[in-house]
Amino acid sequence: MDFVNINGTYHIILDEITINNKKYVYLAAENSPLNVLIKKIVIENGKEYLDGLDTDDEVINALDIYYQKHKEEIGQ
Amino acid sequence: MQDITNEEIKRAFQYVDISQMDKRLASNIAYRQAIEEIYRNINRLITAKYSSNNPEDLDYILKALQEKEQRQVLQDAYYNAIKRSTNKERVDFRREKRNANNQFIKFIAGFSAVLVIGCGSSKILFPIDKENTNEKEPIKVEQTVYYSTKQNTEVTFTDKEIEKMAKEILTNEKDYDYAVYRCFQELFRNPLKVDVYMNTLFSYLHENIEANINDYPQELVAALNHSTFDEYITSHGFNSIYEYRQVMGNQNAEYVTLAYESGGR
Repeated sequence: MDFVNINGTYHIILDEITINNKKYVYLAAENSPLNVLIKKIVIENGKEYLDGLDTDDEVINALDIYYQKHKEEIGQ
Repeated sequence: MQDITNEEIKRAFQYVDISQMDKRLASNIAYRQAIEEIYRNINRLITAKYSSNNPEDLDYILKALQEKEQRQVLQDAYYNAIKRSTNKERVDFRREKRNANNQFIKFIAGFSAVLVIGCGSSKILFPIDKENTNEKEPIKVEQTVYYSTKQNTEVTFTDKEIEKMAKEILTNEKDYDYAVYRCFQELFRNPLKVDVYMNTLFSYLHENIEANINDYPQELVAALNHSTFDEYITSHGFNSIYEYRQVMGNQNAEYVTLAYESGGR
């Protein structure tokens, strides 16, 4: 299991999903699991960064895809 | 998928308080063990009912959530996820990445994400159907209304605009919760004047509510038994609307709602 430090708070990496050739990273705060967020990976000068999504619709679409992927497996 | 009875849904929700989850997760091992099983059940229930494509089946989940005001907790979490995800601050992925081994935390986090996202995405538990926003949106608002990113922008409302919001609340029978939510959210965009706006809204609600008060949602009628919004807040033991909002514990909240406070209609 991997964590990422975002502004001093460790976030669990729940999943990484590629949508339309963009890789999205799904995270939840370690000590506050309802605190969910998505970042997308951008590469600049050979370094990988987690960047914010551009629009609300992009977020909602990415959230929907995550749910469709995971709803069954966690419901077992 | 195994069929789930409505009794199972009710029973599962009796033992879980999502709003207390963070606190207990950090300190109580027994609670962790209990919610592991219960949360599996809840998600199984939601998945089963969601898959049925029958909105009536979701009534039981919705009612169970409302009993403990958990609907608002999940709704806030969903909107907060959207807000945080559009924050453009960059993080060096490789430098900030760590490895750790705590499968329980990962399970809870994974489950929580599915619960939050699932409820938000269902468009049944929360009124977030953007495809029909024009029909459902009598109050003219911007797309970012749920989680205004223009907190520092001065926003003012005329009495006429607030009166229009009041009328929309009273006439929007089908989407009453939604109308109240959007209205309050809008008015809270100006925190300096929110108390003035809320009392003006209350005043208009009193003026415009029709004689047959029983036609309106109970929580609205109960709230309007108080002559002003200040009085309504005071009756709940708070000194001011700001204290009320703070104590309600919404980190990203710019709203309170009559409907959601009492669990909605």
